[in-house]
Amino acid sequence: MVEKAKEVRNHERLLTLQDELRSLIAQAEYLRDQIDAVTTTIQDLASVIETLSYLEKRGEGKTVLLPLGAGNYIRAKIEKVDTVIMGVGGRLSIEASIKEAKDMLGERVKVLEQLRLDLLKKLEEINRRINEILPQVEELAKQEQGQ
Amino acid sequence: MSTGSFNQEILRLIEESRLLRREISALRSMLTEVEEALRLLNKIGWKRRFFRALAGLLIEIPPEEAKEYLSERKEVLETRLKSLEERERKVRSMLSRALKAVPETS
Repeated sequence: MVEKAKEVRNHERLLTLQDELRSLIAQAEYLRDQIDAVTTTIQDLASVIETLSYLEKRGEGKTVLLPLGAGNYIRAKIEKVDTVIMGVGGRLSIEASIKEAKDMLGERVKVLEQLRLDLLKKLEEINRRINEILPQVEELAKQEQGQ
Repeated sequence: MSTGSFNQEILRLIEESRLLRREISALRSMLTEVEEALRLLNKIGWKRRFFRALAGLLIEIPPEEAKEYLSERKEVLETRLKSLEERERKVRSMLSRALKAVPETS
């Protein structure tokens, strides 16, 4: 009787832990996707900052190839490098000086880097919890198979 | 109502709830973007050249129009979001009632 009650308790515990494990794995996958998306955006922004720095110093009068689509380009000359048109969100763009644009982009990078760190911390916590409950699930499943 | 129709109704409500969640999340992200743009422009100032993206073109607009455009867009998004959140609450409550009713009929 006591043995049976213990079996039921163990089975319920196993189901609860399996549920938690599934939920944690889903959360970890979601966080990994978010971290990847944030990392890609940081890389894009860093690349724009680098391009702006180059254009600011050496861009004036340079010939560039303007993409027309489907791998076709047309030659164009950079007339002015003192300002840039940058998107601010909500389908709106503004004209800003290169310094202003670089500052704003740098600010965005800082915010995103902090966000990335927070997400990584959360992922670490979730992984720690997964590593905690995984052996318990394995042990309970083994016990159940042995019964 | 038969158990079959109850199940159909529950599945329909779950699907509607899922679609609403997705739409609400997209609207929230658009609203955050507009609020961020307003916050940034209030910080750096409105005296500059503005361009609005329309059908792949960037059309220059005066600062007043840019301000009006962002404020209107914020208002529209907030209204739409409020109405969807209201609908989601209703759907959730309908779903909860339907789930409670299933064991009584089966």
